[in-house]
Amino acid sequence: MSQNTQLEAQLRPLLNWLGRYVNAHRFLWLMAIVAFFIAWNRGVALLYGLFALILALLLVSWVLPWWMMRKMHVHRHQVGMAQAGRTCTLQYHFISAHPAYYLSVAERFRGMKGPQTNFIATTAIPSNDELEPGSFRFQYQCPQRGVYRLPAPELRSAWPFGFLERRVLVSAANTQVRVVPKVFRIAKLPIPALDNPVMEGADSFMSRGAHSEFAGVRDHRHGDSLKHIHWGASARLQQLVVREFHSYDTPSWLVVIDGEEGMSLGEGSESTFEYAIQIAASMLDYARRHNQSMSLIISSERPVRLDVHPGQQNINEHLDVLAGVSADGKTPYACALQDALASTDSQPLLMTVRRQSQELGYVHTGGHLDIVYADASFDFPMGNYAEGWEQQSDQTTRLNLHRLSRLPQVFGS
Amino acid sequence: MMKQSQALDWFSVQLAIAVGGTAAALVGPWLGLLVFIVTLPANFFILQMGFKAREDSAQNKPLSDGLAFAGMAVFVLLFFQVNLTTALGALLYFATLALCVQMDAYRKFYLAQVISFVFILGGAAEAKSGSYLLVMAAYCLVAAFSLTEIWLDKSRHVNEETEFKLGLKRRISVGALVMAVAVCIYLFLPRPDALNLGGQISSAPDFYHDQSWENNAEDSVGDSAQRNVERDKSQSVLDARKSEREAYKQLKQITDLSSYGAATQETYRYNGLNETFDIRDNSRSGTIDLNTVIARMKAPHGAYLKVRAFDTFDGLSWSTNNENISRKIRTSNQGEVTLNAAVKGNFQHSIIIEHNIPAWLPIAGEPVSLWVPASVIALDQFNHPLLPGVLQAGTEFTVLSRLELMDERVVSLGTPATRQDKALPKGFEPEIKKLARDVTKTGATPYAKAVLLEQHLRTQYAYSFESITASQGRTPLKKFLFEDKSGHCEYFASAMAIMLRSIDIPSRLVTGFSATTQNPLTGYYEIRGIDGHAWVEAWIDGRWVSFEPTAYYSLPSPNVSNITAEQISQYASDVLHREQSGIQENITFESILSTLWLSVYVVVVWVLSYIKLILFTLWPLWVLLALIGVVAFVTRHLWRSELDARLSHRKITQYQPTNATQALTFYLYHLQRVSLRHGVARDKTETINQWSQQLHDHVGDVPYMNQLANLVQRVFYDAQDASIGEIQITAVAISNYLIKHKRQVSMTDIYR
Repeated sequence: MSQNTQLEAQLRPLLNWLGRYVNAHRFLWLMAIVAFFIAWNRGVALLYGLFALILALLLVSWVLPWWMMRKMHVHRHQVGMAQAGRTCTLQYHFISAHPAYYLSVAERFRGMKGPQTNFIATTAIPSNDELEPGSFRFQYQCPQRGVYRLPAPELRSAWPFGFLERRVLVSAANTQVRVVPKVFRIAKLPIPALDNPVMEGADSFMSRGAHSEFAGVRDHRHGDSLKHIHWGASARLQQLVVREFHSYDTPSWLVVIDGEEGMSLGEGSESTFEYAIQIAASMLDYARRHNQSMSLIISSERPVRLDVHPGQQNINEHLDVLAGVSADGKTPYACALQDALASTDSQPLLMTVRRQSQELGYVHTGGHLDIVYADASFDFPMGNYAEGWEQQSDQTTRLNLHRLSRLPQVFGS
Repeated sequence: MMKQSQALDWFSVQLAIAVGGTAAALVGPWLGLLVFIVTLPANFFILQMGFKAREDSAQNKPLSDGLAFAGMAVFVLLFFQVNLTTALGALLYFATLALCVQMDAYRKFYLAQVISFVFILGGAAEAKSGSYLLVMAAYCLVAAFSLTEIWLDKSRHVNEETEFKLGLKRRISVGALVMAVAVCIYLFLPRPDALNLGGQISSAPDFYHDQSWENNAEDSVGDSAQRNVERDKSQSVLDARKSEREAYKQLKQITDLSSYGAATQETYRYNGLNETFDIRDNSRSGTIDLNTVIARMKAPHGAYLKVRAFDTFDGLSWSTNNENISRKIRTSNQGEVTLNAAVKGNFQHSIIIEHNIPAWLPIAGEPVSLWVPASVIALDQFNHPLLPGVLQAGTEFTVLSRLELMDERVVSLGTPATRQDKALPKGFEPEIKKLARDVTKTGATPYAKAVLLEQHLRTQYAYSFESITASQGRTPLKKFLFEDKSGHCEYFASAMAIMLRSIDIPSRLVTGFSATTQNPLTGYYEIRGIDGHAWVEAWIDGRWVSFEPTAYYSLPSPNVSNITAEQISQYASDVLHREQSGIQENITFESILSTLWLSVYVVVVWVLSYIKLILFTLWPLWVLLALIGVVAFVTRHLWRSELDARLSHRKITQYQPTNATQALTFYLYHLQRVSLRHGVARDKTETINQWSQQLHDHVGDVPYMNQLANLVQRVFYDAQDASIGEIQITAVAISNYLIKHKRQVSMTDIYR
């Protein structure tokens, strides 16, 4: 170790202390006090001048940003769809009599510990050519799903010298952000479906080439293939309808999420309910990609039922609904499961997401993917917990998860 | 790690200003300018090298070491050739360069900033000229730029896409704002009296030392007095004659200014107050620059600085009866000497000599303690201290004295009055005595008589500069009192002293300086040639009381305003007073420059004095305005919204939009202000439709409001284009309706 490095290592605590407590404006105050004291002690008038200059610098640094921001109005709205764990784009429009300089906009998104800031050199120049003057688009990390109003944005400015950052909370029109749940890609799911009557006799629900059985007609939806249109029925009903088939090789899914209040473990985006919503959203995507039908039922206070049909183009509307779902229901999970199965004509593959300590109290006769979170992992996340698929019976496959399980890896493998 | 070098560019200018300014303060303005010119490119070059090597600063280590070594070499050179302060300054500068050439971290930049601040601080402490204020202003401005740039750089706020540049115009406007605020603070900043903690100033280019003086010196005043008495008793006549010759030789040594170098002779036109106090310089051009600063004084308030006292008047000139400087006292290692341990000093003042003057120390009041750059001092027959040599330019000393005042007159004990203090010259004109008696006939006491005489001379005689050069050191008393009735201070003081003696009040003439003009920018009292002065001391009730018979001068007041603006105003009036009554015998290049500079200075201080006049003298106006302001503030709910509405309506009708977004922004802001006159305030969280509904509830159906809401939706949220004409028509129509619709003011509003 060279002498310089040694010296630096010795001085490190002092430098850290200085870095923590001494900033530009405190340093200027210190200089002002030094100048004033010497001036006072020795009666040196020029040092009073220096003192006045430093005070003027501080005063201008303190007043000018506030003066600039005091009558500033901000309009903001969300641009596009935001997904939990990714970014949310907000567009701002600043309204003020004069351009503002060196502004930082600080926003507090749900699930983030501190505010996130974006810097604007001046409001006179837009951030890119597509926007009007005074308009800016910024991206913020939004870790947590939900539909919520953003608190008033905080404008910060250290104009003109960067010595002192003034912060002003500006009133802005209520801005609601919708953050849809995170969707990860599910590559493959195990086969728990021997008793599934639809699947009876099939080698695998993933196998191709098996024939299908006519199940009925339904209204035509955008994206449905023309060859499925039931022309006769369409003519009779005076609107396009398509044939639906029970497919022996494409199962239908029923995903039931526990929306009972107080049953979730963990907090914020790291709770069993949020993980369940993520899994449900990813299942919707999975079903869409594999042209499978799926029903998602969430037993919140206002129960949610979302269906995916084969051929569906996207699940954006479903995700939009999922953004606003919360665990505020009164129905126990077991009851919700019974109700969900009762409302389904066919015998679908059931997927449940629960805590380890939570008993379903119900035995599903068809295929069942039972996703189970270890309770203890929410108290002691660093413990050694089981993770992965586990065949419980011919009909039931269990997936063990814990708080630190990385869902994209578990489901993506 | 720094991303851009703008901050360093500004810092190179900042450091050059700091170093150049300090050099100017320590040595002189021309050297300061030279240092600035030399250091500016050096700083720039070094900082650029540091910036380029910021990723691998080790490659610049040899250069850094070289700079540090060069700094040491320069330090040694300057330490032996100039002085320690300058040497340390040079060392610090080279150390800063050595630091800057390895500029690999922000903290090094901030450390360099601190060093530059130390430079400017040191310069401010040493500067004697108000021009240094300009250096400080330039430093602060450039420091603000460099700190801004480094803040942007550090905060990763440099947006490469927008390439936003602050622009010189905006920088200058911000700088001007800072200056204006600083001037306002400076003008109203109270300046408390100096604490004077720590050591007293005492320095000189050459330490004052005289071995023969030291051989005869004692350690304290008491020893010296005792020895003097014993010596007087035992001294023979021969010895006395010899001693007189030695004394004359010594006196010549300590009063003859002609032996102090050609350069000094060329620049100095005022050879000080010698025993004949002739301020003409017959050996040179004969010109007198009365504005030359001879010395500066740092003190809590102005004072008369006594240099010599004269007790013998031969009818034309003053002299002393006995030039006895045989009492010598050694100083301590710190140059301190206590002259009167029984008395507690109350007035500390430091004097900095700018031009050579005789050896007598200019001192206010009765000296108690001295801090002088000498190993020994002498006391004259009036107990006034002097150094063993002419006081050379650059000499600094501090005096703690007892300044006892009676009616703002300095009262001192000194040596008691002698027969000589009552002696009248041979051929004394009886008219003078008659005049003195006539003037003082109403005075009951010697003090009252002296005051009457003083007032008579101050009110009945005029001040004239012509007599200074015409008969310096010679006072044609009768001519002055009865014929010309005008003259300079020496005439007035001589007349009063002799008139006092004629009515049996012992008196003597005192010469020295009137240090009453304080430069508010530097805080120093400037003592110029014109401040060389003569006044009178009268022995009344066992004490010497000062009198000022010359109307041109006023006895200094101990009450000085602590507000800078007032000091500036006083200084302005002093400068103007001097300018109006100044004389210049010959026009020289130097005098033209001096006059030009003085004119600029006068203009500046005049402007400042008017600011003071406006702020302080017109106080009834400010009180009235404050009252109006209070009333207006209390009743603002009655008129504010109406005023805002009218102003905004005017702006709406005059506005010529060019861009739909800007136009809508402008119109929305002003329409909201117009709507306030109806008590409808738009909450910032409200939509246009909600606001429109509120307006509807208060005012009725406002036309075009729906169109406005549609336009807002289209332009702001749907990012569609809209006709500017349509926006304008809509906004003007709404504004017209709102402004013409009768305003409803309820009683609640009035008594709110």
